[in-house]
Amino acid sequence: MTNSIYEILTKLGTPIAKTKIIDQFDGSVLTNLWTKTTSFGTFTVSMQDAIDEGLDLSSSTGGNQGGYIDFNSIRNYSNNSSGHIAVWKRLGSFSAYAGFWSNSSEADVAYWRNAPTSDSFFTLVTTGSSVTTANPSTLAIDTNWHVLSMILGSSNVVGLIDGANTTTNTSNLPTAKLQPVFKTTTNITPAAEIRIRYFEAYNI
Amino acid sequence: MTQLSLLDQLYSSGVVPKQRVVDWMNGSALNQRWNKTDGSGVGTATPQDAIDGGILFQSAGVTGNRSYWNFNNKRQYSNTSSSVLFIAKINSGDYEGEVGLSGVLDTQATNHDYALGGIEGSTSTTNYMLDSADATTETATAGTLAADANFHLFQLIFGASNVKLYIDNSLIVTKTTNLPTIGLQPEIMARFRNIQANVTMRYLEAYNI
Repeated sequence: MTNSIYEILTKLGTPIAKTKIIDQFDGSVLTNLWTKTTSFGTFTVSMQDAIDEGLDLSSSTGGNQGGYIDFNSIRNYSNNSSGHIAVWKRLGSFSAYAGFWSNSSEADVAYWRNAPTSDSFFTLVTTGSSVTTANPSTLAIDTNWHVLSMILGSSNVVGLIDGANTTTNTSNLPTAKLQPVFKTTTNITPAAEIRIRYFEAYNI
Repeated sequence: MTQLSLLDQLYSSGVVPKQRVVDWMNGSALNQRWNKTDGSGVGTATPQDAIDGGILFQSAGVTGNRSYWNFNNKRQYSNTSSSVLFIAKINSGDYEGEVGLSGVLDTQATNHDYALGGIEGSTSTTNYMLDSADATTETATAGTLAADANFHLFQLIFGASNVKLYIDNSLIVTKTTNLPTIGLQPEIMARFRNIQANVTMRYLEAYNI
């Protein structure tokens, strides 16, 4: 008997699965599951014609450029019982972010930040009710591909990079329902750029 | 390093996989693979801004209105060897809210080869049922499980001589009459009878066996 993917991900007989999504970031275009928003200046989204290069989000050079993709404030993910895992890299010289947020107000956030103008290390950022904790990991930022994940619990957000480099935030945790987000911004001359080739979010 | 694929986990070595689709039913909008047809009125598919909220499919709010979401008659699933599995919230009521596999869409909701699980108000307004049709005749068989306002895991398994409806892993109905006779596509249907049809979906997977 052929199995279902559901049976692989959720053992039959256990409580029915909660919300989950997987995006492989390939194909002709970014699907309509995502909404692209240009925050300011020029922001482009393009599928890459290159092996293992996935989707590219770019904020152009020249300062004050930026944007993001998210679920258009359809927030199906829990702030205290969910997970986010993505394979991505920063290419530009400015900031790249990946994780969850409530919306672009960033009042409630849990994401990884790779921002060479402000950080020396990959930094786990959480924001609850507009108050932020930015906690550096032990891994220096670079422009290589990494698996960046986080588990959002009731008393902490635990982040991992490539299955190690555990970083735990216990303060200023998000307090509201969340949606996935990938974001780039630059407010100086260097461009900001992020590439993504896998993403998964799920409630626990 | 050997990287196991998802197919490696689904199939034994040497087995050639058949057609499959997974829809996670979340994101900014209903995935563009779906095609909506309004039989009457304008139905809506609205992603819900709520934790585990899924996507709400509704008929327009007037008696007789009905809408269908399918794969635009691209029928890649077998009527005799396939399965469709979905997580849905379909409450009791005098409406039709059904999900499953169907043949060529007939917006008059007459007989067009299908097997759907959910609520079909003319048969029962209270219990989940299995509704099927061959090319000429539709019949529905209600199970003993009362519908409620919770999400449930539905699964239809299409065999050569029957279609089985499971809900939350329990067999609810085995139907041997008026089974679909042609290739099938996923379908979500919402029809207002005396109240508006609400079908909320959180996951759908269809595959040939």
